[in-house]
Amino acid sequence: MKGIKLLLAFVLSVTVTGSALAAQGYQTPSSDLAALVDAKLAPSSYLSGDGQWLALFDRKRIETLDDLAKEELKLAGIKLNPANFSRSRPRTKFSGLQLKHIATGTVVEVNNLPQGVIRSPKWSSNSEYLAFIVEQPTHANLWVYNTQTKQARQLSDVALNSVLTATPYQWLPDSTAIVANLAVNLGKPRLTNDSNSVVPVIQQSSGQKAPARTYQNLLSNPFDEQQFKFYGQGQLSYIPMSGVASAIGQPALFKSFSISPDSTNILVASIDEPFSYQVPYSRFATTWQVWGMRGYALIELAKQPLADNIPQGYDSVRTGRRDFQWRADQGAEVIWAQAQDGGDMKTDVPHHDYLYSLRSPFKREPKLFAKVERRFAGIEWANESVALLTEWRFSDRQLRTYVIQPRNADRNRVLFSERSYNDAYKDPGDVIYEHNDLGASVIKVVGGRYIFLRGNGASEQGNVPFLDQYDIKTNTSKRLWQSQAPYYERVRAMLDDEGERLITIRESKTEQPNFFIRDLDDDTLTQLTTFEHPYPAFKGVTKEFVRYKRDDGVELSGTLYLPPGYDKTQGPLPVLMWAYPLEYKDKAVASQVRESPYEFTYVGYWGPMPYLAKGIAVFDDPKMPIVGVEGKEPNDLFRKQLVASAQAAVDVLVEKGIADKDKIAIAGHSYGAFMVANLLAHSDLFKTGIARSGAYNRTLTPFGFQGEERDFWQAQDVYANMSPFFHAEKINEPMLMIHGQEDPNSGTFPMQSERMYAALKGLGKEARLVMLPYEAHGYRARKSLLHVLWEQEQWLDKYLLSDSQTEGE
Amino acid sequence: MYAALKGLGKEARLEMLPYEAHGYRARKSLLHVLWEQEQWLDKYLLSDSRTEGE
Repeated sequence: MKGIKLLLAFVLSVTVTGSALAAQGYQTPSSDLAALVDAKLAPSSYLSGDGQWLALFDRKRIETLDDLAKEELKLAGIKLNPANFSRSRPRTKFSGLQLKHIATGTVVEVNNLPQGVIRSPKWSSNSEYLAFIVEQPTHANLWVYNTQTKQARQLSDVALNSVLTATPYQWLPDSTAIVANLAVNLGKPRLTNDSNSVVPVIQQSSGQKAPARTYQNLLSNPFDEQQFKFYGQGQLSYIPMSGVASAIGQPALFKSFSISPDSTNILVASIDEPFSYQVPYSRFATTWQVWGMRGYALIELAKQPLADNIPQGYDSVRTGRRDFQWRADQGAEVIWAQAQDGGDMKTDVPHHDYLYSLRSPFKREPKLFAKVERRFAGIEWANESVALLTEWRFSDRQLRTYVIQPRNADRNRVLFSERSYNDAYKDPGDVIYEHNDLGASVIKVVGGRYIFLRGNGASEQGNVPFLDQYDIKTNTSKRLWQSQAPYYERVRAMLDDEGERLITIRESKTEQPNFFIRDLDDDTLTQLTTFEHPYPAFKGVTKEFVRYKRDDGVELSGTLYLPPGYDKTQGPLPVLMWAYPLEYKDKAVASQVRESPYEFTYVGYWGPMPYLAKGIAVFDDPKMPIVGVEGKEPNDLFRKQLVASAQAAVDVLVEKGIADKDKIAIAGHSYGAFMVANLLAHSDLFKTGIARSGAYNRTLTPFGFQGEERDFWQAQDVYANMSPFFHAEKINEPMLMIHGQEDPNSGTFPMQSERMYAALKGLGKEARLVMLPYEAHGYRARKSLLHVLWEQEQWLDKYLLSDSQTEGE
Repeated sequence: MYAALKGLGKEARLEMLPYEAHGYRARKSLLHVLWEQEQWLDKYLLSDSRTEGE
């Protein structure tokens, strides 16, 4: 028997080397698929305060391998690029800028920017200037676009420091200048680690069960501390529009800075030594001060100690003064919070937080501003008569917002909103802001009584975005406008005080998002932008929401996408299913619907959608709920319910005449990959599987994973049953595995795929493993993404679409 | 293994030696290993203090 297995393994390996899958190096998929990676999506928009200019930034979604290979330092919870003193992975990055004048439709292209990444745009309050950062390999600088001259220029050649202050600049509210945090040590020689600082790495545990939160990338030795100081050291600088920068005060490890509404003071937070090896920089000892514009400290508000002993609980906070902010509606008044419960919500007190205020020139005693019953969650300012105060509590997830009168904040409060913060259906929306006379951003109040809210309008029918007007005097809301089927349209900004002229983004299943001006008075809709369809090859893809039941009665659903031009007379299609199992204790918590059926069909490169171009039907997110019933934990029945869910999904597609039951592939990422391996081991429903960045041996995640709370020692048989690694000998279908070589996710170390592949190979199964250099849990480089699409395309061509038989066992 | 013991609330200590392979070769490492073992035996074998049992 063994001899025959060996022969088969040899034959299989010979067959594989004869095919395209033997190619070396990064490959590119067929052109319709490759186009998805480069597809240009709707740009990000930044509207000027006066509603006249729409700045449109092209989003940069993907990286190059060189970007990923760049050196990255990890210090005190921050990942930074030491070459240019920036964070190495900013959330949003842009690659191009144009400005649209709304009234005339004129478009100004900005063509003189250097090669680099654009980020953090901010309009000046007077709408004359748009500032933004351009990050280049060795420095990051400030640029300013001038709406009068219609030109962009570098404001100053000073280099910005985003290591601690992720957004390293701020406009003065009066629009005359910018204050920025500069990289003091840029250009100096790198610090070197001499052999005296190589030390054994020691960990010790002393008998206290289970961990507090595990933070990543903390400081761990004296050289790390030196590096942290070197890269974090900043200098505040005053930069007027002339571009001539002048220093404000002394260098320090600035954690944050904020300019008062009257543009005369700066609220400054700086980090103090000693640093900690247990918590990230955000919890280091910090001194809070108010400085004048020349850098003279007017008052020290607090010296916050290291926060390494905050009580357990998501709504726990430090004791002492915290949450410093300027009142937006006053010239220079600081507000902060102080816990009255020792920082622990479990303490029984009538008020958990007090808010205090102190006004310029900061010489008097602070005043008690407001008593907050639960944990202070924030305050939004309008003027002396109106503010919105929010408090929350984790135990019941409740969020409460009151309309208060800042003059007398404890009296005459009006309850504006009360809900669970998970309840999307009761979300009243976001308040609309404007600039006041000082240039500060405040809640827009019209006629002394009306404020405006724009929201997603989550409901049973899906998201139906709206614009509401709230009357402070009567505590009632009026719906001014709501999106109409078959469109999905949402409010981007108000252009007037009545809520009658709006800028919206509008899309439908077949029309991609564009900007419009909607006039409710004239009942007109004027198109502002005409972006092209991002992936014309996928026009005509149809989408259908399918509901069905599992053998035990649980209700399931999935979204079926059919290739352009398909109709049933053509007969059944090969199918690619893409899923991710979820556990819950309660069948009724089927998620609240959080999408709109009218959203533009998004075809991403990430999941199964690209393969529609190959004439494959896609069944996206067929639900695979693992439910705990009759007192059992969900995972006690994991395999049974998983296979039952997959069976139900296959059955409904076959019944509809869409699927050929012998030509269905299953794929997934992360826990979805784990699901793929389980389905191939414990069923014969699928012809092949693709498993990306998965975990296959649950003993390597012994302290629980996903929704499983029991540890390995408490539930050894569950861990063994659920680990496809333990059942690799049952996998009878070919499986493609892909994994990022630098995956830091503790549940999905690269070793998971390497060991699973070694098992399958040793057992003589058909498998392929692709390890992607530099990639983490999500893949980001263009070359990696193209290669992944190619791998999957080749695999599906060979194992799903062709009629060749695989050598089964 | 250390992560497992720590998570389960056991008494354990883990020492990772830079640059060393399966047998330890550098003078600094060897001196340090002897010191670790000496400290450990002093504390858990030779002293009269009890460890907190399970």
